[in-house]
Amino acid sequence: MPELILEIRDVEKWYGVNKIFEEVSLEVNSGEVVSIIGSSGSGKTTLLRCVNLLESFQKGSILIDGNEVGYHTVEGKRKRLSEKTIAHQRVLTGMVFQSFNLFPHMTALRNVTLGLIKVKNMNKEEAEEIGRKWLERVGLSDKLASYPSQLSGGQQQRVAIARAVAMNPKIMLFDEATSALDPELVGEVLNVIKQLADDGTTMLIVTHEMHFAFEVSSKVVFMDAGKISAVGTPHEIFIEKKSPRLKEFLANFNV
Amino acid sequence: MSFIDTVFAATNSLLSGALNTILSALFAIIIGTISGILLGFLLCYANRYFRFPVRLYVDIIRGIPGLVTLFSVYFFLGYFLQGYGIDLSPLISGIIALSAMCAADVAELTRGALQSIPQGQTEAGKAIGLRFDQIFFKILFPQAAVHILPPWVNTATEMVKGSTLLSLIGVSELLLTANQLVATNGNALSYYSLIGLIFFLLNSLIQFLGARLEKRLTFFTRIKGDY
Repeated sequence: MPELILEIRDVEKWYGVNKIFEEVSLEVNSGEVVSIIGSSGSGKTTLLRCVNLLESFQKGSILIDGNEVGYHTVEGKRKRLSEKTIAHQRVLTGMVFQSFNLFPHMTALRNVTLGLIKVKNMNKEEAEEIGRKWLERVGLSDKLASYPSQLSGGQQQRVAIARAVAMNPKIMLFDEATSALDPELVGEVLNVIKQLADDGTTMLIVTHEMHFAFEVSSKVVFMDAGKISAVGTPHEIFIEKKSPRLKEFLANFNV
Repeated sequence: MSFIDTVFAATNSLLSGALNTILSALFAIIIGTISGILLGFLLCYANRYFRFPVRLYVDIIRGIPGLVTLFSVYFFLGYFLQGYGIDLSPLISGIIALSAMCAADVAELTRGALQSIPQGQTEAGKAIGLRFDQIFFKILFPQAAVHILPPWVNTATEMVKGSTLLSLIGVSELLLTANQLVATNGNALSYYSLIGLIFFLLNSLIQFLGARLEKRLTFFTRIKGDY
């Protein structure tokens, strides 16, 4: 019986007078890999950022592991929770950014252990053991003491993945994790993500790598003009291409 | 008496002059730096009701001559405090004025440095569940310090030089001491060269310490990889 990890219920997001997306509902079960595809400006990255509460949203609710995050209702009014509470809730999600965002003044190992020590209150030895384990898993056991400026883009992104996954989140969020990389470095990062998927990590992935999405996903979501335009298995989305808009979008890629 | 002899004869007054210069500059730098970082933090993160008065303060102090700030503190603040029975000595007035100038400069440096750090750093900190105070102390400030330090060394040396203004309200720092020696013995060039040399050495020391600190703080910006 699959367990419901992430539930997005009818979420709506505005920037001032601009509507970014509306009526977005999505469910991710444990062990599932859900990919979100769509053209730039379709709202997919913003949706991902709403899930780990880096963005506010105006309507709807997001539940992680059955608990609503980010907002609560007080006397009929919807209110954003305090930043401190939100900081706690963010531990439920692990985020990998397009631009890595490693801390440049810390070694690879320290990048991974910072959250373990400060947020999970582990002592240094425990944290470093976990940090070493994950850096080894992403193939960087020889780069523990390296600073981000000494690492290639692909290596930096793998440290960023280790940093996120070491926190043992309920779900991993990948925001165009390979878009900022040289083409030759994309493979090593996708392999790490694929390996995590094979291990049963629950993931929500925003990507432009259609082959990857096809291979790795249990479900694919096509976002278009601020709405979920199609949801289906990789086969239904990439092979059957049910809607004309989806066909048009996928025509830009060699799939 | 030769110049050297008069210098030896005036050793005590020169030493106490140097002491006043060092004391006023040192206290101004310490007080100004701490309060300046705090003000810079407010400029970045406080709501506009806190931000506005700080902005006003920084712009006014940076926009008027140091001498005007000094006279304002000594005459107006001094007069005002006298009403409460507090006597503001020239040295204390001078330290307050220099600290106020230093704080305004450091506030602006801190604001600029904090704002130059990419938003992604804060977001990455948030994403692993850090609170704002943890993000500030562990992620933002260590990176901002790298940007603050080089111009801060400049501000610190300005404080040493600016301490000569205190001679105008009667603080016997190096310049006033030299003025008095010149008035007694003549030989202006020699005395002013002597205190010029002392100022130069003081500021060289600050620059030396600043450079060492900079090297320690910025190591991560200089290492380049061999991947």
